[in-house]
Amino acid sequence: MKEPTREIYWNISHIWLMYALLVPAIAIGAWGIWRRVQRWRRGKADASRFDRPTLRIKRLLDHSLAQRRNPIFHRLLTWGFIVLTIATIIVALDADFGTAIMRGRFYLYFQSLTVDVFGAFVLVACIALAARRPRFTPLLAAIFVIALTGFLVEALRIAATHDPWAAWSPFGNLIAKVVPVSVVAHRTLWWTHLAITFAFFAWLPFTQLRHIITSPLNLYTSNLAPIGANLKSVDFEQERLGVATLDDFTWKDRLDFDACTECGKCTDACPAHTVGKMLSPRDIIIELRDRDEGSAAIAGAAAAQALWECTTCAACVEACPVFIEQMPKIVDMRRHLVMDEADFPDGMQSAVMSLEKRGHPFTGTQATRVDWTQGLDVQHVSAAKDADVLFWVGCGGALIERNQKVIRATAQLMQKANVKFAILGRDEKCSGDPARRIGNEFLFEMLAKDNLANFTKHNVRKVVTPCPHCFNTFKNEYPRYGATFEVQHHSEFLEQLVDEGKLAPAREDGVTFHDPCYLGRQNGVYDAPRKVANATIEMERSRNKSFCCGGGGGMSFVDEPSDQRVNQERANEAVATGAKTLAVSCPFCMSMMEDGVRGRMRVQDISEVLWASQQPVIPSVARDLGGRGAMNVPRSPTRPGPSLTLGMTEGEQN
Amino acid sequence: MNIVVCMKQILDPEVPARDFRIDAARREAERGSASLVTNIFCENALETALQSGGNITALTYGPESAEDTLRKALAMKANAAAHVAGEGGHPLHVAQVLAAAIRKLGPFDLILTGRESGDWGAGQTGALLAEELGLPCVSFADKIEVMNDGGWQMADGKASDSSAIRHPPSAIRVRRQTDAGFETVEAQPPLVVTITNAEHNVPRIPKVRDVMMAHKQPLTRFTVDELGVAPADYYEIVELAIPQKETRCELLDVDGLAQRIAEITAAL
Repeated sequence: MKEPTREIYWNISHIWLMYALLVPAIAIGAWGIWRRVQRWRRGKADASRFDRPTLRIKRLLDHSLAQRRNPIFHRLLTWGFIVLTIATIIVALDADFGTAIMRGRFYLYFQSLTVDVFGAFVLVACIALAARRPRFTPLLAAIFVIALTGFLVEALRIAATHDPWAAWSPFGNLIAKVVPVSVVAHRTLWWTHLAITFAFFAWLPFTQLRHIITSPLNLYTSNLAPIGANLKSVDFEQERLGVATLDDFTWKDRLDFDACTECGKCTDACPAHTVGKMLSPRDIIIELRDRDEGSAAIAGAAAAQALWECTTCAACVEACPVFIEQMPKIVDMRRHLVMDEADFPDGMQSAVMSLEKRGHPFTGTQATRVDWTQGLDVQHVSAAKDADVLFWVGCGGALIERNQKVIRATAQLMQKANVKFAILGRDEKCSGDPARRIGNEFLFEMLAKDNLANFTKHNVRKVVTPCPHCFNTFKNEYPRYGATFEVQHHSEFLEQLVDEGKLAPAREDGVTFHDPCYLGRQNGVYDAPRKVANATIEMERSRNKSFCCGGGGGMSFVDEPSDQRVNQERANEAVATGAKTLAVSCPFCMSMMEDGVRGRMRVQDISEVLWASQQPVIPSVARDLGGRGAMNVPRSPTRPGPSLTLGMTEGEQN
Repeated sequence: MNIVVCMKQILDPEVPARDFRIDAARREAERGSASLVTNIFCENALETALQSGGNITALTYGPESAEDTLRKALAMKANAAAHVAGEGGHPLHVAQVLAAAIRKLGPFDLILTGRESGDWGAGQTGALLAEELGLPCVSFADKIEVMNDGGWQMADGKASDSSAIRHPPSAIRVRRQTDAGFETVEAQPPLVVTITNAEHNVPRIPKVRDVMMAHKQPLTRFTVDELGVAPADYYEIVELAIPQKETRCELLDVDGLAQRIAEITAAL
């Protein structure tokens, strides 16, 4: 028997015509790509996009080949596309360079069987993807027609040549049984298939299918740091602060625009969009992509309003299959509105003014930073030289009454575990997170430098904080100003104390946990808070796909329309779990969730849940409650169980 | 039109009551952890000036820290700023110092002050300043219109490049807040106006660019000695105390109720 192969260009003459068509197709396609590359090159510099190549290659493989954030059908389409492209290149090598690859086993296993199967994948994927989308888009239709004509050409060849290896092309062979033997049909379809394919490649850079090229580039140059470290710094010597026009974006921002596949996963994940607000990260990216050089980045009042709906939760960034960084661009544009135009929502203006004057964002508060210490033996850093830990309370913890209980619980847990800690008390100032997310980088820098000077003065080496915003800022943003201290969120620190046996583990049942964006998605801490609160019930959206409480990015200082509240949406989701307790681990989440659940379930910080478990279980009560922990005593005036004190001092109940 | 706005730096009136302390011996408020801020009515006055348009000078009399108030005023786009170094004191003394500075810096068509300051709340400086300068004074104003080239020009915040800058106005119309409503007064400049707060004179937020620039702008500096004003004690604070709030509850018997009520009412 002959060696398995097939005749290239069987039944085809005038091959020169193919080359004649190929040249303009490549020229147009290359010109299209070149135009985009030129556009990226006009962007501003962005230094840190090529370090750690191994990690970058890993991400590229994970998300361009394995496509962890894409549905299976898109993966099939990609894999089919790649396999068919390789097969075509092999044909070209054999035909034009005289190689003899397409023979023997390789011909049977790869060039026939694999190609045939992956070709089928493409057809199936096109139909499946079209079903998920509002319509059969022209691009999807083009791919479908290319694959279909490919199969028909193969089938007609098999039927006409009685190919002895036909069985290795199962799908083509199947079609060969129903097509007539016609050399004319084969020849016509062969040229049609070729023409459509060439046209497709010429057309590709002018459509969002350019993502076949731009997405891998974007993945390779994506941000490797946690999302929380994603915001750019601002050069105050620049003519404009933040992004006012398209010219102010970096080359990476511009590559981001071109990498967008318009899939809409970002907008689907966006909490503001979910509750019916205008913000759509996808539309922002698409609009910026389609805007001319030099034009304003924020076109019109409506566009500006959408920017002020962002909670900077980064659900969009996390959802994007090609790692576009939508949220940092929103902050870039906010910076322009705040710093160059002084044009931003009233509530945020008050917060910024209060930050400037008093170092905290809460206008009109009558609380002081040390109210929570009443009755507790807590020392200022200057008086506690041997302290191992600076307990950073944060404005939300110290100045919002409900959170003062959280701070007390955390402090008491540390005292019980014999941790030597101290506080800055009245010397604390906002970490700068709200200023930065609102867009006032200038104020952020001032606050950061003030705080760092204070840390240096008191020789702070380790900071523990119950505020994920402070945590993120200290961890990811202060190093730029010379910070070298270690920082832990209280969830991590308390977990450690439990692991070391210094604290009893939480024994509360029926707890669900709400991931704070700046702890979970933006810094990858998911397990510690769950463990601290023994949270075993998961909400529909949790961990990296968690849904924002609505309070980030300065949004907790703004009044939301009553029918468009992010916290309401999230609170309903928490209530739907049937859990008794909603555990939070952020002072802003606490306010938002308490307001959202409105008494339908208990909202506690993870430290409060853990503190309750430090009390001995009183046997009679435990028996009454079927052996459950004392914390489960219902809050009822007729049953003043030991749980009601929660370890708090007198006068703090209720 | 040349406007001078007198501004005072004070202890943050928003300091939580629990954090507020006084030094009874020295009979003054303790700084504690409270911030220093610009008196809100002075900021309302600056905002009113900015909306009227014209060449605006911010003037303060206070310690070194009061420079922050001037920097903020420059950031809000006052054209110039002057600082009289000193510790302030009795309103009459302050008015004398301000008047001396204004004579050096002037002439001005309009002299604005806040209606009172958020620390002592005496509310005298504006009127005493008018007296020192020998000018009329309109108090508790919240709106200023300027007569220019035969027409009234509303303060709309966009006046900075209008004719208001080039020509001294022939008349000024001022709206005052009174117990019963509003009172509109027309006056010939120059005059002193004390400004109260209203919806339309909420101080603007400065642009960060302007905040940065404000720190580079020069200040005109005076000392009280240079201005030739002698320190004067027009009054002495005899005692300073934080009022003690007391709540008491007394359950009254029905017998003799009317009698007891009469007693309590008399005592109050």
